[in-house]
Amino acid sequence: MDKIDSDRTQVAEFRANVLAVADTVAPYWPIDSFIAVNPLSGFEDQQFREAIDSATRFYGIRGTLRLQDYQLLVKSGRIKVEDIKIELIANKSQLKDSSSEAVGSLKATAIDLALIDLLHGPASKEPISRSILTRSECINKDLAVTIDNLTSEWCSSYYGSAQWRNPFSEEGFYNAWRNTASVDHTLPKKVRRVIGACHAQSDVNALRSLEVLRIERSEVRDYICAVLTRIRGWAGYIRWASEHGQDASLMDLVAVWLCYESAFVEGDPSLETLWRDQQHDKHDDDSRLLTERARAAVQRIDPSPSVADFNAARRVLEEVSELDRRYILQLALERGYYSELFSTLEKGSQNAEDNIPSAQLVCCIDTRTQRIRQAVKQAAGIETLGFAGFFAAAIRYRRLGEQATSDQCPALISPRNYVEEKFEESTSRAVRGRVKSGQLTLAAGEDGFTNAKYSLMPSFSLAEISGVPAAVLSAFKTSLPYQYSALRTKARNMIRPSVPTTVDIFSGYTFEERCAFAETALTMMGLVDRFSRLVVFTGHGSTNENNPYSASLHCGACGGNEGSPNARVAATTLNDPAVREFLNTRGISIPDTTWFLSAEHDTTTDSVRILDSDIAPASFAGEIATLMADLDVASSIARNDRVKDLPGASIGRRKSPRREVLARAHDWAQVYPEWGLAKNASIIIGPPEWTSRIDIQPRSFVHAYNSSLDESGAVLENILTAPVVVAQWINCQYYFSTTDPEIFGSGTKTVHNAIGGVGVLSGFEGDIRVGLPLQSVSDGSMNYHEPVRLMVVVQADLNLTKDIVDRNAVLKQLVYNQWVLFTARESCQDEWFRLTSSGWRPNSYISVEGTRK
Amino acid sequence: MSLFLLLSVLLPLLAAIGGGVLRIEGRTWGPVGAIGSLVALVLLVIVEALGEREHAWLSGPDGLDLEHWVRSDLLSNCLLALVFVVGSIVLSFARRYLYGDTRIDYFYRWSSILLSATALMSCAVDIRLFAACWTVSGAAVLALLRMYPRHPGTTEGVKRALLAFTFGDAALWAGALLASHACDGPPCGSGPVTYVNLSSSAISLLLVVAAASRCAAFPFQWWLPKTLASPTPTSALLHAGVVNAGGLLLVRFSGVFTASASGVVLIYILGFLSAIYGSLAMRLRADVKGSLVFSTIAQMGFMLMTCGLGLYAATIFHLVTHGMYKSSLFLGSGSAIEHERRHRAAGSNAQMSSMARTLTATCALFAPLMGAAAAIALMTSIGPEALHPSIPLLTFVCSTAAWFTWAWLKRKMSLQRYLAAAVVAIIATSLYIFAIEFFTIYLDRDIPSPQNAVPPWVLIASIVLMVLAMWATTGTKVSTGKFQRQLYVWVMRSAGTSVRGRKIQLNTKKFQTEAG
Repeated sequence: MDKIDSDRTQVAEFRANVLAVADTVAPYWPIDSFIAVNPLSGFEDQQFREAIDSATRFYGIRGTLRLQDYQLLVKSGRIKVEDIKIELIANKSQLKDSSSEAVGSLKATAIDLALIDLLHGPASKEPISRSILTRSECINKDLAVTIDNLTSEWCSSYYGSAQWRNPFSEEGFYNAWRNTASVDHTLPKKVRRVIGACHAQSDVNALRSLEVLRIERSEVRDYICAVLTRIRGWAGYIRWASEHGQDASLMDLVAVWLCYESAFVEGDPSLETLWRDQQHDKHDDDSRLLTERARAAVQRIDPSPSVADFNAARRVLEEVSELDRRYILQLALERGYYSELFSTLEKGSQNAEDNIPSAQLVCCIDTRTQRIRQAVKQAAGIETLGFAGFFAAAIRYRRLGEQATSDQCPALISPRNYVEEKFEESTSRAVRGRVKSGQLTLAAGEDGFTNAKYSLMPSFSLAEISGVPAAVLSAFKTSLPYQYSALRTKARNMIRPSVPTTVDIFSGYTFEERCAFAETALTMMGLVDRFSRLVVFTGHGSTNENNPYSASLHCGACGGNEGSPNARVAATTLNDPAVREFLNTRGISIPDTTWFLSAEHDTTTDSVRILDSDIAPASFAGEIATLMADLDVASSIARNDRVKDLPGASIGRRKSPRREVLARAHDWAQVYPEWGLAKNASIIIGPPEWTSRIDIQPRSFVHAYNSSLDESGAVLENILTAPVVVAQWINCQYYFSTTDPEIFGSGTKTVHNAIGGVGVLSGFEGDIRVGLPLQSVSDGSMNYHEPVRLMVVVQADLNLTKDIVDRNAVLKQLVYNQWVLFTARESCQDEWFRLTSSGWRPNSYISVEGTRK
Repeated sequence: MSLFLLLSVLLPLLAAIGGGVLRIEGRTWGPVGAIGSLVALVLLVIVEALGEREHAWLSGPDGLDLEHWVRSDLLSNCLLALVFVVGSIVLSFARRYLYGDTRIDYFYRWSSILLSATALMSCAVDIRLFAACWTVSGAAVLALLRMYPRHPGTTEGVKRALLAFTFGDAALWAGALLASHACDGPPCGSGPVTYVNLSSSAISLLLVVAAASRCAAFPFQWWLPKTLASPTPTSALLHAGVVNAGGLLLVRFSGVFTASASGVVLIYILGFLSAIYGSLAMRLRADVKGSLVFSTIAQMGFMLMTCGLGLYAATIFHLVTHGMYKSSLFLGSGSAIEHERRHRAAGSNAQMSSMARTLTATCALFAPLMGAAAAIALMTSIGPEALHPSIPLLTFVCSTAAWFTWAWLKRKMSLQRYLAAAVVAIIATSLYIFAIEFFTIYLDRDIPSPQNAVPPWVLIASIVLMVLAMWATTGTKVSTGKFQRQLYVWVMRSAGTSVRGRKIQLNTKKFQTEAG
C-alpha cells in the first residue's frame, strides 16, 4: 500500500516537474500562421546576459554573433571603437579601476589591452556545445540522433497529414506509439521487448525509464530539459497544440523519448559511472585560448614582450571571458544604433499642425510600412498614423466560398467576432451561381489531381499524361514568372469570376459590439478629432510564390494573414451612420464629410490598392482618384528605395524597379521575395505630428500615441502590453535566427522539406526546424539583419509609464531583465530617460553628443 | 553528324571548363551550356529532318569514325530532349534559388558535368562508352550530394549512394566487358547479339543489377531517400535524369539484356516490388519531399515493369514524361504549405449517401472504360497487329481516369459535370494509347520489341496485387484492420529513418578522464 502511495506521489511530482520545465522550449505555431516567438521565452525571468549563459548550457547557442563578425563590423565602421570603449568601461569596472596604470612595463592600460583584444584578438576555435547532456549523448552521439529521428518520425506520422492516415491515431499519441514501436522490425529485439513491456501510462513509464537511466531526483528537471531541447521543434509544436485545445501533451513526448533511450542503453555499464559536465576539457580549451589572446594583444603593443608583461596581460584578459568579449561588442553595436536613433529623434520638434490633411492613412506598425509612410507624407502631405495592423478588429474570418477560417488577430488575444466575406447585395443570382460552381470546379480539379497523384496505380499514367505540360509550365514559370502568374490568374478568373464582395459585420457583431469596437479603435489610435475627408485603414500582406515561410511575411498582427479583411471591417463599421451617431454621443464626432476607406499594402511590390472604393458616395470620387494617384507616386518612391537592398536585384535600363519586384513576387525560384521585418530594432510610441516629421528608418515599429488624450494611461497600457510585447517577440526571433541560424533559425531554405500544416524538416529526417530561414536574415555572404535588442521609445508621462511597467509582470520582466531597452520623455522639450531596475536614469545613448553641446 | 552531336552534348561541360578557367561566377555561365545544348540539338533534329546527313562539317574529318560510339536516333533524341529541357529549367531556376549560397559555383560545376555525362550516355551505342558515362555521372551525383558537407544527413546520403553505385557500376562494367569479350566485338546498340562462349544469363543479370541500382529499385531502394540533404535543384536533376539511366541501359542494350528470359522476368518482378513499396511509402510520408522520393521509386518500378514486358516505347515514354513531371514537382515543393492551406479552405465534401456513392463510383469507372473501348476499336481498325501487348497499360490509364473522375464528381455530381469528365477521360485514354502505339511503330525501326517473356499469370497476379494494395490503404475511414496496421508499421519503418548507433560504443577515453 505504501509502495503504491509513494509511487503516486512520485508520479505527481514528476508531472509537476515536466510542467515546470515545459517553458524551456518556446511554443511553435504551425508554419501557416507563423507567429514570431522569442525562442528563449522561458528564460525571460533572467537578465538577458544570464539567459544566454544558461540557454547555452541547454542548447549550445552562441547568443551573439561570432567574434569575427563583430570584428568585421568594426572594420566596416558599423561599430565605433569609442562605443566599444564605453561599453568596456561600463561592463568591466574592475579594469577601469586600474585604468590609469600601465600593465606591467607595457605602454598600455588594462582597458587598452582589452580593447586591442576585442578588436584584433583571435576567436575561439572550439564549437560551442551544450553541457547538460542526455545519457545517450554521452554514450554514443549517433544513438541520440537515432532516438531524435525515431521520435520525430512518429510525431510526423501522428500530426502530419499524409494520404495514408495513421491507423493507430485513435489510440492517442503515447499508446499508438507503444503499439507501433513494439513491432518495429528495424529495432533490435531487446529494444522491442522493453517497449512491448511499457506501462500504459506515459508518466509512470517515463519515471521507470529515468530509474533505468540512473537519474538522480535532483537531476530530473535538468534531464527533462535536456530531452526537450533535443527535439525542440516537435516539443514546441506539441506545446502549442496543447495550449490551443488539441489533444497533445509534452509528457507523452518525453515518455517516448525516454523509453527509446532506456531501452537502448539499459544495462550499459557506463550508466553506473558518475556523470559530470565536461568542465575539465573545457577548462583546457579556455586557458589555451587565453594564452593565445594575451600573446596576440601584447605583441601588438610590444613585438618582443617580457614574460612578466605577458603574464600581466594574461591576468587582465582573464577578466574578460569569451562570452564577455562578444557581449561587449554586441553592446557596442547596439549603442551605435541607439545613438543614431536618438540623434534622429532629437531633430523632430513638435508643433501641432492646424490644417487638416487631405487624407489620413492608418498603417500597421510593421517596420515595412515606414518607407511608404515617409513617401506619402513627402509626396502628397498625407498624414499617417501607426497602429497594430488588425485595427483592433479581432476577428475569425471566412473568405467567400471557403470552408476554413483564419484567426485575424495577434497571438496574444483570441478572436472575438466571426466575420464572413459575402457577395455584394447587388450581385445577381446568375453571377453568384457562376462563382460558386467555379469554386467547386477548381476544388474538384485539384482533388482529382491530388487523388490520382497519391494513388498506387493511377499515379503512373498521371505522370505520363502531365509530364510534358508540366515541363512547359515550368519553363514558362522560370523564364517569365510575372507573366505566368498573370495568365494563371486570368485563367482562374475565367472559371471563377472575381466579383465585388463585402465583409458582413452585421451578423458577427451586435450593434453594441460594433459601437464598442469603433470607440475603442478610434480612441486607441488617438483619432478622435481632426478627421480628414478620407481616412484609409491600410492593412498589409505579401505576395510570394513557392515559399513555406509565406506567413512570416504577412501581417503578424493579423495572425500571419493578409490584413485587408481587418481593414475592411474597420472601415465598414465606421462608415455605418448608426455607429457614427453613437460615437457622437460619446464625444467623437465624425463629420459627414469624412469617409473611411480600406486598402492593402503589398509589402513585396510596395503597391497600395484601395479596396471597396466603388461603394463610397459619389462625392468622394474625385478625392479617391487623387489619393490613388498620390499612392502610386508614393509606392514608386518607396520601391525605388527598397529595391536597392534586395539580393540579386538587377535594375538597369531594361528592368525598372517595378518590374523587378513584380517578377520577384511571383517567382517560384525566388528565396528572397522581400526582406520582411529584417533590421527591426526599435519601437517608437509617440504623437504622429512628431513621428511623421522625422526621417525614421524602416527599422522601427511606429505606434501613434497622444498622451494628452490618455489621462488614465489605459491606451498606453494597452500599447505597452500588446504591440510592444509582440514587437519584442519578432525582435528576438530575428535576433536569435541571426546569431544561431542552425539552432534557433531553420537553416538554409534550399534543403527544406515541408510537412503540410506543421512546418519544415531539413532534408529527409530529424526535428522540425524552428525560427526563420537563413534567407530571411542573411544574403549568404553577410547578415542583412543586424541583431539589436528592441529599443522602446515612448513619449508619455514618466511616472505613469513606470507604473504601467511595474504592474504588468511580463513587461516588468522584459524591461528590467533587459530583453528590451526602455526610454521615455514627457514631451518634445524634455530630456530622454531610461528605465532601469533602479528607476529612471538619464539616457546614456545621447550623452556623447549631449556633452559636446 | 556525330561530331556535331558530340560537341552539342558536351557544351555544358565546356561551359564549366570555360567558367572555371576564366574565373567567372557560376550564376553567369551556369544555365548557358544547357540552353545552348538544347538549341543545338533542336537544330540537329531539323537538319536531320531535312535529310542532309552527309555534311562534312557535321560529321567531322574523314577517318574520324564516331558512328560506332555515338548515334542520333529516336531513343537518343527523346532522352536528350529530357536531359536538356529539364537541365535548362533546373539550372535557370537555381540562378535565383541558390543565390547567395556559398556553394553555388560548386553546384553549377558538378551539375554541368552531370548533364554532359548523362547526355553522352543517352546517345552512346558502345557499351564501354556507355559504362564510362554511367560512372562519371554517378561520380557527379555523389559530388552534388556532398554540396553541404556539414548537414547532418549528408554523410549517410553519400555513403548509401556510393554503396549502391559501387554495386551497380561493378555489375555494369563486368557485364560490359564480359559482353565485349563474349561477342564478336563490343555490343553496339540494341541489335541481337551472338554469344561465343559465355552464359548469356550471367550478362543479362549483371545488367539487371546495374539498372536496379541506378533506378533505386528493389533491392536498392535504400539509397534514394537519404539524398534529400542536398538542395532542391539537385533533387530535381537526380529524380528527372539520373535515376532513368537504368531504363535507358536496358532499352539501349536490349539485345544483351533480353538474351536471357530470367533477366527479363527478374526485372519485371523487381519493378513490381518497387512500384508497390514506393507507392505505399509515398502515401504514408507526410513530408512533401519524402513523399516525392518514394513516388520516384514507385515510378521507376513501373518503368522497369514495362521494360520487362518489352514495351520499350512505353518505357521511354514513361521515362521522359516522368522526368519532366517529377522535376517540376520538386522545384515547386515549397508550395506544400500553401496546398495544404487551400485544401483545408476548400473543405471536405458533403457526406454522400451510400446510394450516391455507388452511383458516382460506377460513373467514374464507366467513363474510362468507354475510353479504353474506343482506343481498342481505333487500334483494331488500324490493323490487328497494332493491338500490341500494350493492353496492360490500359489498366493503368483507365485507373487514372477513374480515380480522377471519382474525386471530381465527389465534389458535386451532375450530368453536366459527368459528361465533361467522361469526354476528357475518353479523349485522354484513347490519345494516350494512340500515342504509345505510334511511338512503338517509330521506335521499332531502331529498337525492335522482343517477344514478351513474362508469363501471363505473373502479369495478372501483379495487377491484382496492386489493386489489393490500393484497396488496403485507401478509404475515407481510417482502416484499422490488423493487416493494415501491420503493413503500416512495416512500411513506415522500412521507409523511415534508419537505426544507427545500435552498438553502444563506449568512449573509454572520456570516461577515464572523468573518472580521474
